[in-house]
Amino acid sequence: MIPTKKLTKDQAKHLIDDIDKLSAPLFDELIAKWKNNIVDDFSFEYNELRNKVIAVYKESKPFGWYETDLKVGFALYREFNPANGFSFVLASDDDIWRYLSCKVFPDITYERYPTPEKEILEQGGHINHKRFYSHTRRIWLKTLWWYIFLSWQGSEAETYDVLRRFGVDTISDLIERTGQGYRLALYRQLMYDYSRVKNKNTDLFNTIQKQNLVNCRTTEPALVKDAEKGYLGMLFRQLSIEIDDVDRRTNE
Amino acid sequence: MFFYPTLTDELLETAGFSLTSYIYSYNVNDLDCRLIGKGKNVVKFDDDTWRIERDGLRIRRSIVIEYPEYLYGKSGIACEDAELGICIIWTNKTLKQMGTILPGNTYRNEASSVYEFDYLFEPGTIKGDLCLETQLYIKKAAEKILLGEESLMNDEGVKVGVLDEVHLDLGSMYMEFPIAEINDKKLPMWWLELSDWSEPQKDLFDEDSLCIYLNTAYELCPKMGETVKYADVLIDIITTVYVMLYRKVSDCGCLANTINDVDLEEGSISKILYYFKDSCKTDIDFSTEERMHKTIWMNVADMINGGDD
Repeated sequence: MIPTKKLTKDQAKHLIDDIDKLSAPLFDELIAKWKNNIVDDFSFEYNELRNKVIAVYKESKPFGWYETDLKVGFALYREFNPANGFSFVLASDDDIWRYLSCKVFPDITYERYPTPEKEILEQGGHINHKRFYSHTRRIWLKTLWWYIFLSWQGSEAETYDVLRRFGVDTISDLIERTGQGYRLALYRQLMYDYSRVKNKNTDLFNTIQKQNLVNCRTTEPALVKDAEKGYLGMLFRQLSIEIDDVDRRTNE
Repeated sequence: MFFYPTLTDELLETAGFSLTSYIYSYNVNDLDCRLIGKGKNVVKFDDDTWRIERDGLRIRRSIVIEYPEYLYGKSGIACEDAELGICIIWTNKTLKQMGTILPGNTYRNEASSVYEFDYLFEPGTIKGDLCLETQLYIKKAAEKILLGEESLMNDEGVKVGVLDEVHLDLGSMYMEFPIAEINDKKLPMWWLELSDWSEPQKDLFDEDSLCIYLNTAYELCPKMGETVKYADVLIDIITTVYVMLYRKVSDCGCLANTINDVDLEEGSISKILYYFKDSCKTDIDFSTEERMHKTIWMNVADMINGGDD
């Protein structure tokens, strides 16, 4: 049974506000605990998940934030898997992610995003509220799960093979540009095709996403010849983007 | 605005389109249970035994084009040699997802073309709302473009006309607003928090743009849930929220576009305000803020109290 405890926005806000209000010595004490990954105020059902995620986090951290994001995302996806009943409805429920961020994984969420927003900092706060609970498309653990889900290529190995070449900006560019909504098949094909792009630069994925949103106003990718694959071929040609001739899926 | 001909009301009539209403149902122990929808543009279901997240939703409808030949050629919307298709594009704003439904069965009945749709949204896949937009699109591009057809769209997958649009309200109307509950007697019973948006025609109508805070520390505060408690208070809150939103949209210089559905992105703040205006039985009077408040109240009251359809 997948644990799906919830924390409402208000409950999360109170919890984080309380941390923001801690005196300097008490806050330092809390951070010292978090640095040693000591977190105990969560339901026991999450023990196994927490141990797995923390182990992955520690292993991947030396390889940079993107690698860490990916590996934590996969670890979450393994547990909160659609095949195990973690439905679209549950995955979209911010309260479930708020519980995970604020109760189960506050230590690594804080370490990943240690800088609070400007206005929070000005009020003497310490915590990045958006990444913990307040911004639906920026709750860190939620973005990682969705990044894996929207990029899924059929297996973890194939998905990793596609995603390993990208960077942290790709996560936000994918998650935050929803348009009318996510077209799952299109996004999965897009991530695969983008992994075959020869010369990637930091703005390229963003440019693709923007043009895609414009095109989708008139064109429905699933209805183009060869569906999403055909549509993306047109989109890449439109933007003069070259991709590797070799399609790893077909070896053509 | 399109730079190629798209379906007009006149062409819709000439081509003899006939669209059945949707049949909605769900499955219980292999029995197909019908759901009766109330409302025309915004459909609601009163069946307490059905829950979309648990039971899913099956939709069915047929579309007949009696004289499809009028859609082709220089006076139509596709080349003689092209093929038009019909699809339903669904959008589930609450879960930020969308997809395309193709007809399960297509056939010719004498001169008419018939398209039959039958689609199941599995349990756990949608929640809150569902928009079903039936579209005509270029299914197969013409290889030969005849004289006079140069301005016609001939790219596969491009949409060339909306046949109709139906919105299903799968929660209660006020739940379409992002709502957060708090419990603090030092704060007001409710308030609206608007983030710093300036492009309502593009900015999404979601929690990142706006949020209604309901303070449960007050006994009269409407509670979130299946049934509406203190409906009169809720009507006042929702009315005031709409007035505040229209005012802010007006401050951004977008009121005219918003109420006329000009250049509005799907899921944007303006688009939702347009849908609301469009679904009102009593026209909203935008001439002054007081009149706007009064006419919005009449509609919100009607929606929440469940007027006759």
